[in-house]
Order: sequence, then C-alpha cells, then structure tokens
Amino acid sequence: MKSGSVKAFFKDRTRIGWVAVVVLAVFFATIGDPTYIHLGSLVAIWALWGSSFNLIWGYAGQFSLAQVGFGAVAGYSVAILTARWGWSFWAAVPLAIALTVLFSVVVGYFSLRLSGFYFAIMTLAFALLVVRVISSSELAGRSTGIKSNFDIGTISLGPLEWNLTSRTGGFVLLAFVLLAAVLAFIGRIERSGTGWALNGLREDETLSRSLGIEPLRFRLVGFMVSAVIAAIGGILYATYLRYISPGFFGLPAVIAMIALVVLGGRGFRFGPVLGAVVYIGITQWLEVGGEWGDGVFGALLILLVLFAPKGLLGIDLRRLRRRAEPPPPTDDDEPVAARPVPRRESQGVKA
Amino acid sequence: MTAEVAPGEVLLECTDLVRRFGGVAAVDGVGFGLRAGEVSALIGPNGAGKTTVFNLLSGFLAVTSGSITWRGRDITSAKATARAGSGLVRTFQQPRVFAALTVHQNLVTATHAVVPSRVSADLLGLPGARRRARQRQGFADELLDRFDLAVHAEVKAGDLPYGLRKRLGLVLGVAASPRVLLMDEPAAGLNDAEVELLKQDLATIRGSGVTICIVEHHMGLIMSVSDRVMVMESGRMIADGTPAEIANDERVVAAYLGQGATA
Ligand SMILES: Nc1ncnc2c1ncn2[C@@H]1O[C@H](COP(=O)(O)OP(=O)(O)OP(=O)(O)O)[C@@H](O)[C@H]1O
Ligand SMILES: [Mg+2]
Repeated sequence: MKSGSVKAFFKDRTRIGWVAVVVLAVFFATIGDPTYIHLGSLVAIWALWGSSFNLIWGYAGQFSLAQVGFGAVAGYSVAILTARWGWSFWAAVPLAIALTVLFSVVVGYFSLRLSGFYFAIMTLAFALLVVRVISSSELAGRSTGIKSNFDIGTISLGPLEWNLTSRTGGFVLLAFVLLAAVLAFIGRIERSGTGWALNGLREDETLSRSLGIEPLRFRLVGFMVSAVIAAIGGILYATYLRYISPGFFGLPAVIAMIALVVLGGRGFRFGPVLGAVVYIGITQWLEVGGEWGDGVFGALLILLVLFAPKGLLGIDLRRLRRRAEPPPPTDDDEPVAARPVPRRESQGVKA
Repeated sequence: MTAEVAPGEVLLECTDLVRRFGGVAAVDGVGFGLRAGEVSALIGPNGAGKTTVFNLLSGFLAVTSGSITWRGRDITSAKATARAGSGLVRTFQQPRVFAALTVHQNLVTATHAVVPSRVSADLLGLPGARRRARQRQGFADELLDRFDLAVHAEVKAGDLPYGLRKRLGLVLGVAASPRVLLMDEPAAGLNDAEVELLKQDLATIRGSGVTICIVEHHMGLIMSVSDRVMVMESGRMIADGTPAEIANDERVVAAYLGQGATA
C-alpha cells in the first residue's frame, strides 16, 4: 500500500470485509456475462447460508446442522404459496420466514438442552426429516420438486428501475444487498449484550451461568436469528434457480455449509464470504468437473485444518513471525511483568 | 449497589444442607448465615465438602435436602443464573475465564448482571441498546483501573499467566456486581507477592460493600482477613468462631490445622 492513510484504513479487518463485499457485488452485478451472474448469485447465496451457520456455530458455539433444513422450509413455503396457491412473492416471503422461525423454535426447544455431539445429531435429524417429508409430499412435488417462476418483478426507485428477475445483474445485486444487510445485522449483534452473552456461552457455559447468563434463552435467540438468515438464503436459492427440489437440501449442502465456514474462519463475520468465494471458485469456476472440484476443495480443507485450524481469516500473521521465539512461561514466580499492550480502540468481538 | 442492605442483616442463610453423591454425603447437615459486611472463611481438609457447599449455595448443584434463603426469600430451587442475577455470585477453584476473549472483553461479558441485555432492543438496534453497550464499556474500564488490569486489557485471557488468570477470575465475579461473593480458593497456586495483592483486592471488594465468604487453605490469608471462620470436616461443620477461637480449638487443630495446612 502506498500512502499511510490507505494503510491505516485497511488496518481494520471489518473495512477490508466491507470493501470486498462491495467489490464482489459491483463486479458480479455489472459484468453482464451469464456465467459470472451465475457465479455471483451462488457466492452471495452460499455466503448467506454460511453466515447462518457461522452465527450459530462461530458465535454461539452450537454445531447446528439444521440450517439447511431451515432454508428448505422457507424455500418450499414460498414455492408452495406462490406456485400452488397463487400468492404473490412479496406476500409469501414474510409468511415463509415466520414459518421457519416457528420451526426453529420447535427444533431449538428439543435440541438446545442437549450438549455437543447430541445437539449436532438432533439438529441433523430434523434437517433430514424435513427433506424426507418434502420428498414424499405430493404438495411439495415429491422428489421432482416445484417449478415456478418466482416473479419478483421490478422495483422502482425514483427514476431508477431495479430489475430483480433471476439471472440478471439486478438479481445478483439483490442477493448482495441482502447479504450486506445480514452482515451488518450480525455486526450489531456482535457489539450488543446479546452478542457478549453468546460469546460467553460458547467459551465457558459454567462461567457464564455464574455471571447470570441464561444459556437456553440466548441460544434460542441465536438459533431463531440464524434460522431467519438461512430462510433468506433458501428463498433466494429457489428464486434464483426458478425451481426447488429436495436434492438441494441434503447432506452435501450441510457439508458444504460447514466446510465454507471452517475455510473462511469460524466466528469471523466475513469468513463465510471468503469461504463462499473459494468454495464456488473451486467447484464452479475452475470447472474442474464435479467430483474433481470437490476433491480440490477437500484437499484444501485438509491443509487448512492441519496448518490453519482457525480458517483463512484466523491466520495471525504477527504470530507466525513470532513462532521462532520460545513460548512465554505460564507459571511465573515473579509477579508478572507488565507487558506493554496498546489500549483497545474499538470493541468488537472479532472483525 | 448494596446501599439498601442494612449492616448486619443476614443476607444468605442455609439450614440443614445435605448433598449426597451416591451413598456418600459430601455435605451432611450444614447450616450457617452470612451477615452483610462480614468477611467469613470456610476451611477444612481436602474433600471436606467446601466446594460442594458453594455449589449448593450458588445453584450449581441441587440440594438433597435442606433449605437456602436469600434475603429472607427461599431460593433452594432457584436457577444458578437467577441467583447470580440477584447478587449471589461465586468464583471457581480452578480459575475460569473466557480464554479466547481479551481481558477487556471478559469484563464486558461479565457485566451482564449489571447491565442486562434486552434481546429485542439489541436485535433492533434501539437507542437503549447503544446506551447499555456504553455502560458495559464504562463499567469494564472502571474495573480494569480498579484492579490494575489495564495494561493487560488487550491480552487474550487464555494467554495470561496463572496468577493473572486467577485474578481475572475473581474480578469477573466482582464485575457481576455481587452483594455476596463466594470465593473458592482465590489464593491457590499464588506466590507470596500475589497473595499480598489478593489481600488488597479483598480489602477493595469489601470496601465497596460486598459481603465475602472465602474457601481457602492459606491460613495466613484467612487469619488476617476474616472476621469469622467456619471449619468443615467430612461434610459437617465442626467449628464456627473468630480466627483466634478457631486457632485454639482442639478439634480444629486435630482435624485440620495440626496436619500441615499452609501457615
Ligand atoms: N460431582 C461430584 N460427584 C461425586 N462426588 C463428588 C462430586 N463433587 C464432590 N464430590 C465428593 O464430595 C466430597 C467433597 O468434595 P468437595 O469438592 O466439596 O471438597 P472440598 O472441601 O472443596 O475439597 P478441596 O479442599 O480439595 O477443594 C469429596 O469426597 C468429593 O469426591
Ligand atoms: Mg474445593
């Protein structure tokens, strides 16, 4: 970086994240090439799904495998309401999100009391149950799914017309605007008492309880919010493809969601964005063929887990440089010498 | 914070506490009260049941029988979080901190009881949420200064040396704004200089109107800071009196002090 002020600007990782989101949005929305519109839509949608999982796992520490199921409930609700029952898209969306939240409360009620492994299994069971029910329901089109031209239409913004039709630059822009809104919202949670409570519960539930933080209450809130985010992702996905089928919401989707969050960096707000870019980049853009793409992505994940378990954003460059020095003693005899540590400037949990 | 408590009022009282693990009664008929403003100590040999008493009082374990009242109200089956929220706070024998968070973030998290989160306001970004966020920051900054932790503010709690982690664990308890603070072995593993520092901290905490009950093996510390000492052995209370009375109690000397407790 050339000038000092540019360097200072990019010292804050949050700013880098925002710049990246804007650059991605502008790039994919204006390029006009159908291939890139496809890639851009997928990046935004997977970043949304990843953000949903990142909120509940990265922030709240709950390894929930139900997120894809939430996406399915929302996507199918919109599909059935519009294609089968003739609702307008904009009327169907709020109802679909409300139904998803309701469903997440049911899932949360049964699963959030369980710890670790059992929570993961219980939420996975719910996700698979949703797919099972969908693929055997006539209303949901069984395994073929529902074809539907989700007609979002055009929004007029004064003199500007915003065409939201699927597979246009306008749709890509819509997807990124929703992604940005979700990221901003997660940022707000990060800085709030609710965010601190979720962090505390993730780090040490016993200590949190001793400080008056009620586990079930905050986890349920986190679960519901993550369900809303997953719902937005699910609806966008179905809208983009103009089609919805149980195949989108099976185990591969669950695994991809986990993988891209791990890749980008668990608990980093912009981690899922980076994860989605890399995931879509490798599996779609490189066009290394379906299985090979997954293979390359898998190999990358293995390397990452081995060498940078906190994900790409979790790589601490300063610490890498300090590696050579011996680790500091943990059990000093002396009263601990004051280390010169700069005072905090901003107080987010993580960028 | 504790202004409305009359000095000498019995804040916390337990009667006939029993807690069994399988067939073994770890706590077997213990009863006592903690008076506002007092510093009391609970001592006894390893396995006497001291930590179990704290677990019962703070709601981390359910009683087998017996009752607990908090400012006259029965809390025997109240949730741990509710007890902490009402000012009955405990710390842990093994230092517990939020390892991945910085010292400052640890304190902000711990202010939950003082500045409760309103989930809906937080999610909607209402002005109250921002005000409360500022209050939390202010409170955390104050604690950093009061307990000389400011220079470590940006260090990850998990990277702190043992003594500081222990100290932070104690300050987290203070951050929860207790009326009564139950401390489980705050001096365990500390060197002499750190114990001196702990004495100052105890004076600071007491000075702010907090009633203190300490479980400790460090007799030097106990004898110098306590108004009252209770002694447990095998789940039972065998003595209760001033430090001087306890030091001269034959049963206590036989059961505990005689067998090489840290003087
Ligand atoms: N959760 C538990 N399950 C089974 N037994 C337990 C449990 N907690 C404590 N005990 C037993 O109860 C007895 C009292 O333990 P406690 O931890 O209260 O002792 P303590 O007085 O705190 O000892 P120390 O000074 O070593 O900390 C011990 O025999 C212990 O093994
Ligand atoms: Mg103990």
